[in-house]
Amino acid sequence: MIKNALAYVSRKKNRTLIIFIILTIVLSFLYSCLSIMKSNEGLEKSLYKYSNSSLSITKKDNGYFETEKFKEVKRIKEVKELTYEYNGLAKPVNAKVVTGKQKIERDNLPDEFNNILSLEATNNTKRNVLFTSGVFTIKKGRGINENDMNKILVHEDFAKKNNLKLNDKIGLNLLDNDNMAQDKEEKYEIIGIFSGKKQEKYTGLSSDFSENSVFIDYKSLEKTLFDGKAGLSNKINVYTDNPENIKTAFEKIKNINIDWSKYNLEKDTGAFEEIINSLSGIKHLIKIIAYSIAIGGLVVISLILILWLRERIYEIGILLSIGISKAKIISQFIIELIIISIPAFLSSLILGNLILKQLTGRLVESGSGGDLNIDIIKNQSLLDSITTFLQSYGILISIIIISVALASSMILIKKPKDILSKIS
Amino acid sequence: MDILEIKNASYYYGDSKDKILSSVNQKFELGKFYAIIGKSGAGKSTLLSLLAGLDKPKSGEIVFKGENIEDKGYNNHRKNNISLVFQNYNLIDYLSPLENIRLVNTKADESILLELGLDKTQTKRNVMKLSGGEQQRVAIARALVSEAPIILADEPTGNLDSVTAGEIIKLLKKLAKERDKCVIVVTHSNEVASAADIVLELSGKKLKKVNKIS
Repeated sequence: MIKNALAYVSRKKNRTLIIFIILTIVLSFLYSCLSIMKSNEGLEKSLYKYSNSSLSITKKDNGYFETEKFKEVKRIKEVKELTYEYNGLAKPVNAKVVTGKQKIERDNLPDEFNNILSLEATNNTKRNVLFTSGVFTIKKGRGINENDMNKILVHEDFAKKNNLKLNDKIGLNLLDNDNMAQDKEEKYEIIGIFSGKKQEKYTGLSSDFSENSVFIDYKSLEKTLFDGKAGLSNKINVYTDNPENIKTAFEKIKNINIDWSKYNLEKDTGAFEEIINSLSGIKHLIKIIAYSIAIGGLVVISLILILWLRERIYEIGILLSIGISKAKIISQFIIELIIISIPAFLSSLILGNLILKQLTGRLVESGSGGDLNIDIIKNQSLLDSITTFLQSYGILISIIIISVALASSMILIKKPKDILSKIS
Repeated sequence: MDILEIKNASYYYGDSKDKILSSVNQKFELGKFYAIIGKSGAGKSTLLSLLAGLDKPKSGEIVFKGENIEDKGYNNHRKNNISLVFQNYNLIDYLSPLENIRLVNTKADESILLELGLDKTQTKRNVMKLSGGEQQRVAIARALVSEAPIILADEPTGNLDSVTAGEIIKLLKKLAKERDKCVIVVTHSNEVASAADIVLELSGKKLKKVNKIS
């Protein structure tokens, strides 16, 4: 049976080539469609992460509040990450702020406020809106993360003015929430230098300028201003894994026993919802294209195989007349196609990925208008791609078996005499 | 010794009650060469199909060694009891002669093909590259390696020139005698009929023994 199948495949070269091309095309499209459909599921998650969606807790009077009051938020299982924001002021020791033309002149300002920095303490600058929005960009070094202690990011102009570089240390005297200096200098290591200009509000202080903004780690802030205890914050951001969890987390936080008349709990999911709305049409289109290609491929391959088998009715008649069983005849046909599908499998690895790149490239281009460059292919790991490819191959083999069984049964239900009389 | 018997068999096509064969009875013995003759459309090929188990009679039965072939199945009958030789040879076109005969017996070697007049290179060449006479020899070789006791041939010389046809008939007759096979040939040819031990004529839906054609 296998020998005869090999003989057919190797000697009927033209027919084998046609079947090989068809199997390659169908397998490539099946793989592309399956990949897109799978990516479509992951796309929402990626967009969610990309959009930096979160819940934010602030005080209604925009003032400071104790983070300890919200310690229960950490225990909510849907909550994946918390970031704290503290906005304050700091006096640099042995360093001069960047000066510029102020729109507001203050005569009554004590001298010490002429050399003041705007300070933001956070446990993750990657989540900070000034960095995620691209207003500030890290030019050298890295951002602040949860494990950092006594680390600082400074503006490139401030660094230039004071001849500061990465790993240098700068002394700061932090002002508390009442803007009272602590007379306690703390040294911070520069781990990143950023550039950019934020929207500036002029109050007559040197800290109004973007160049005089610094970011320090939140742990240092707690150590310096709050004796290492849980400190104050202007804003707590709450992050979850997916859009469903953010709704659940919102409800659970709302149920925490706190005087909510003094606090705001808001969803910062606008960017995500905007993207999802603009992509919903594209998602629908992807689904329709994917299903159409999969069903079209199935129909084409079934019809081709039916024609291929009808052309072999002569052979079927001969084999039946010499006593070969129907099961053996069908098995030989299936083995032939499986043999042809092996090189088709290999060539589809290349063609399938090319089609996938073309399809996803055009879809993303048409869907985002060039603004949102989300690479669907990159969203899939190698293991995902292999799994998808094997699934596509499994579908192809199923189509082959079903088509051959259907087409053969149409011939094999006839009496051998009828088949043989058709031949003559 | 009777090997095959057609018992009171009738046949008609589809639902029409217009019979092609009506209550046909005949016994066939090993070691004999039978020729079935008759006009075109008389039902010779239909009769051969019934004997081969390619179709079943509407009434009556086909008996092999005293047992209705339906009992063990038609596929079993075709596989083990009979071998078919056709006018158009019915060989698998992408296989060599040796591979064709191995379809019915995987242990078959080229000796039978050499015995029937093919040379060594021809046994491995594509079967479609052989002449008509050579292809018919391959078909006969396939019938022989199956080791079935009955060889059924439908116009085996129909596509051959007279010299090659004579050789094929001699070969079939030799097989009947030397290998103790029951050879049943459906033919229009007087030459084939004259070579047969027993000539049967299909006429008026019945099978009748006729005097040997000389």
